[in-house]
Amino acid sequence: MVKKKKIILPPQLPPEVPDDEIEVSDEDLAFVNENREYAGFLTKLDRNLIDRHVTRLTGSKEDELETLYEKRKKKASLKKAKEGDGVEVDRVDALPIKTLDGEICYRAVENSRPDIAPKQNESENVLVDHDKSFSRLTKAERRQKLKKSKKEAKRKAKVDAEDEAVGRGLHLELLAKVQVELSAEELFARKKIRLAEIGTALLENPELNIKSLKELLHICNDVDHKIVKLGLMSLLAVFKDIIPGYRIRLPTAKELEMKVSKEVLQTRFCESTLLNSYKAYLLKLVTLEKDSSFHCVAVRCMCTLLDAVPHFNFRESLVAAIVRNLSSSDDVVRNLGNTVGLFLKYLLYLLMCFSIKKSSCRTIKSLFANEGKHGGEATLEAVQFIAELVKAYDCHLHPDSIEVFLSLIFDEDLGTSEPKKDEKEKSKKKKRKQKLDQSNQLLSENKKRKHDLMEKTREEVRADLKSVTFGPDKCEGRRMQSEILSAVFETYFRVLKQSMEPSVSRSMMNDASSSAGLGNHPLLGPCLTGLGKFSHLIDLDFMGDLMVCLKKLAGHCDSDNDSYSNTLTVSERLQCCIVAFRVMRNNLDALNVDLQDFFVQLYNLLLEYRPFRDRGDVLAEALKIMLCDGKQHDMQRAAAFIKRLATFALNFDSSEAMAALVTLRHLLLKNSKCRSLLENDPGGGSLSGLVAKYQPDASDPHLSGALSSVLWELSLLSKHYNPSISAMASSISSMASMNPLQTQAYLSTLSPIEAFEDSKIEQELFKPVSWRNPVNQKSKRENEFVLMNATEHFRKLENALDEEAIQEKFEEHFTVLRDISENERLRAELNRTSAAIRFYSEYEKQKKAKEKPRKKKQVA
Amino acid sequence: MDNWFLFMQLSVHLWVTGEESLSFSSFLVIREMASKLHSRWYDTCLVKTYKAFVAHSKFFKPTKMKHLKFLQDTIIELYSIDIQKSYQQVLASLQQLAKSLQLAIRTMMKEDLKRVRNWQYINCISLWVKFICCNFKEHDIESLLSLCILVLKGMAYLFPGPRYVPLRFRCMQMLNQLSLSSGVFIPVASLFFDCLEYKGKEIVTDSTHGWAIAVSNLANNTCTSLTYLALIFVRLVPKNLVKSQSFQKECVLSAIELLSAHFLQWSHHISFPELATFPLILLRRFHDKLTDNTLHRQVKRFVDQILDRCWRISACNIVEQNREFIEKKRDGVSFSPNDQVAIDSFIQKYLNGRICASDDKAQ
Repeated sequence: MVKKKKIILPPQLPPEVPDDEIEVSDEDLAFVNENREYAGFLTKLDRNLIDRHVTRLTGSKEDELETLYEKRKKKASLKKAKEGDGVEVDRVDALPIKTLDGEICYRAVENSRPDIAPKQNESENVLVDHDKSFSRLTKAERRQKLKKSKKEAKRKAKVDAEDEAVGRGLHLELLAKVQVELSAEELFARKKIRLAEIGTALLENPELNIKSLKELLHICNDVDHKIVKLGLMSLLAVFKDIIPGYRIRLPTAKELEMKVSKEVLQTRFCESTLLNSYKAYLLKLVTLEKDSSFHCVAVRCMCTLLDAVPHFNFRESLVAAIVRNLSSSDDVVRNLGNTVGLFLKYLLYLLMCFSIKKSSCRTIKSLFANEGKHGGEATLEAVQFIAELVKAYDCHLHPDSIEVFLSLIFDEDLGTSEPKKDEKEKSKKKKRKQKLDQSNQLLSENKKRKHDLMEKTREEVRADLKSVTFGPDKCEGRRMQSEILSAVFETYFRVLKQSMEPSVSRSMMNDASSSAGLGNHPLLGPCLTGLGKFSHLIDLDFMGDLMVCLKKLAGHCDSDNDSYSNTLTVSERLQCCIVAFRVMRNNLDALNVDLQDFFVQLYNLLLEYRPFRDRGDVLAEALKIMLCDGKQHDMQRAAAFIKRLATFALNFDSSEAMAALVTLRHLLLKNSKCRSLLENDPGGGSLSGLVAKYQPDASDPHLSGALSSVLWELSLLSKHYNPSISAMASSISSMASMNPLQTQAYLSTLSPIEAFEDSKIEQELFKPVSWRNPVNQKSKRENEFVLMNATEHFRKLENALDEEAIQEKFEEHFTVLRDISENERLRAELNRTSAAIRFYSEYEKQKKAKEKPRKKKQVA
Repeated sequence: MDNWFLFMQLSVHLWVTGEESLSFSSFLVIREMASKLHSRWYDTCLVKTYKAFVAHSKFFKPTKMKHLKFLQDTIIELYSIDIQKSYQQVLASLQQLAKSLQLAIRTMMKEDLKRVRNWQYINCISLWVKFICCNFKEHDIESLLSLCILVLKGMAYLFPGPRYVPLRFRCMQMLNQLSLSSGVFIPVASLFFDCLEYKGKEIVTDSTHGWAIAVSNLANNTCTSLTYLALIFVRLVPKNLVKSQSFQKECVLSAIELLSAHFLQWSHHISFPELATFPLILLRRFHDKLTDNTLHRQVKRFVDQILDRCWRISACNIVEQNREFIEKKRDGVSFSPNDQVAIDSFIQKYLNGRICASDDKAQ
């Protein structure tokens, strides 16, 4: 820890003792005298030097020595004064202790604590997370321990204070800081331990220790942010575990007066305490959630609570808090998309959970009736709150917030088997219900439910025996469902309305939302998908308005107005068309709406379609729903679409082209008269009606005069690189010779959507390619390429160039070689001559040497 | 044996890295080895040259362009010696390309995308496109062709958005090449539509930063704007450049160039008016929008715009005239779309006729 950094100091000087006070025993003297050789060093010791080293003053000058000594004296006296009332801590004598972490501690009493503390922290953390697997102590023991630890804490604080005051020479300031930190850390650790203890106790025996909930709550008022967070988390864990599986109803005054057994009293007390502290906790969370530093924790706590105990009291306030939090943190939402994501993820998760619960309740009704009910209620609340949220934000939210609805599961039996009137009545009922006071909902809930039940049962009895067998459960479920539905559709319609509004008032909002990465109509896409999914559940009353809305939306064309902020994408407009047709289909033409406008839209949208920007699957779906599934088209329109689809197929990728061709074939099969398009009949003008000549850029299919045109596209399409498209094209062009009566026998089973999916580029890439060797050459021809001819040419040129260069190179090379050999020869010659000369000179010498003695001899 | 191997390795190395003449001579050596020696050597030759090419095309420099082209040509010649044998190699290589493309489409991870969006990939695919173009007439390599088209389409599909316009143009160019050499119809017009869309929606801003200037300068130096664009920005167009006007101008010009190449191939075909319908409608709309903008623009900009418009109008007009011509001729015919023989004869007849007509006009 901190101590590690310090220099290991030499032990302090023993207290000053005058020389004469020291008693030297005789034995010692004798020993020294006996071993003079060994003890001789004693005489050589330089006392001053030792003192200086021991007192750590070696570095300082002689003049400063005195001042230093004075300082130290003062400190020592101070220390003594303090130590008088403190605990004796013997520094010199205490041996260092090596802890488990491998740290060496010099002061046993002080330092053993902080080393243990972190370990306890860890265990405490584990506890908060898993709130189990902690060694359990009895209550008494725990109390004792607590007292002890408190005492120790006090003592330690004192010791720390001392240390601060005393300090240590050069490290004084640093040490002071460290000590402050240390004390804070220890305090922190202590509190954490306390939290952990209470938590374990509560989990172990909630009924006995229910009072300590208050203590936990008290801890949450701490100054330290960390502690507060930990407290919140541990409370969350505790509540998650101890909250019973039922809603607590506080006893009325009458009930309180009645005499009850001890056990009942105990339980009542427990419940009321639990409820009170839960309430306090929620309040705490709500207040804390406004603080930015606790924001995340508080919200997480609330979400987890709602997830874990959706049936418990105060759920309404919990949901409200979560949603309010969403709307209140407006700026935060814009700046930090993450938070929104978090909330929405939670909401989504919640809804998923509930729908699962609901579905499970349907199967095992009697067993989980209660749970199912609560689940349904919670779903309803969540949906309603989302609706409010959308309203508050004027539809500028992340698309996820509405996509959540798609995971709702509506019971098909309940929804569809009942006549529509029933639903209407229910919506009325719902209004009535909403009028009721929300504040005392808790109390009135039962009454209301009873009331509803009564009505429902009466209805059931009147209506059908079958539904009676399912009993009130079903009624409840249906009521819930209709309310959920109405909330969902309210949201959807709001989104639609918002998308239709002129952009004047929204221009500012747009800027903000587009900076946050959302489009102009972020919610429209999922909204349309949802409408398509739940279109069979839409009330007939809304149908007319809905169709008008959709018509307007689909007609939002960027060529109409110059403000681009108002335009929808092609996919969105296609989706509008799809939804309109879905709605019509599901209601079996109960209302008479002219769908002609949608056909015009589709006809023009085919021009706007871009393969990368827009979604091909939506286009394929639109083609299927509007052109393939429809009953009968009038001939002009069918012909116009046939012509346009063929042209479309010429320009787009294979997947879109395939979808278009499948639709085209379908149309041709259904409308036998349109097959005249396949033949270049000079008298075809008789059929063409109003317009004699085909006009490809007409915006209305009726005015395009397509009947007078010929499908020339097919001949080019049969040359298409994709074999399936070319096959399709040729099969279509062969339909001309088909008997006009044999239509139904030949209807294709492939839908445009399937065709689109099949020929998507990903799919195409997966298709295996044959490894077969190519068939031999198509045409025997001289296998000579342009490049080869060029190379010959090139080579000649190069050769011509090269010869000179090579000649030069070779000449150089050989001259060098010749020079070298010449050189070698000359050298050898030189060597030879020089050797000869040497020999000769030696010979001369020897000769002289021989001659001399001879001369001497001669002289002699 | 080892000596031969060493020799080949050396010559391949020299072929890839060497100067013009050195590389050429070493290629001749390689070719000799490939054609004269045992067939086993041919295979190793193919593998070695391809590998060396791939390694060499990792980085791109405009100065190396000529050399790269030479390498491609030589490889194609080498591979064309014996299609029966090289077919397997080409197929394997193409499948490898397709596989990495598949992975990128499936995961959309950055690393996987990078594996497709690099020089190696583009050079390889363009190499095989060239190979197919050279050999399609003589050999039955349709499976290679379809795979190649799929890979190119997949590349164009994988990189939407204005920042990848040059890359997509490159793909379109290659598709045009393939279509021209094989006679197969490959629709490319849709790839170019969204380019017009950006233009239509773009609010014109006067941006005079370095990139724009660089583009216009370099565009003047090099051959055509299209090839230039494709060369420089095959990987990714810098963000600030996307909005610059000169870049957009270049985009439209090259789009029209590509589209005209596409139309040129089918201009004699009987379905040409239908083929041109959609692009024509869109071009007209685009053109209308442009005039709208020009009214509000400064005089200086006006001059530039006139040039652009001339380009565009002429492009429109050429298409229009041609369409009218064929429609006029077609009205006089009596056969139906399913009568293939008659259509072919029509095409032959008017192909010649059209050329004459255009010659007359030119004179």
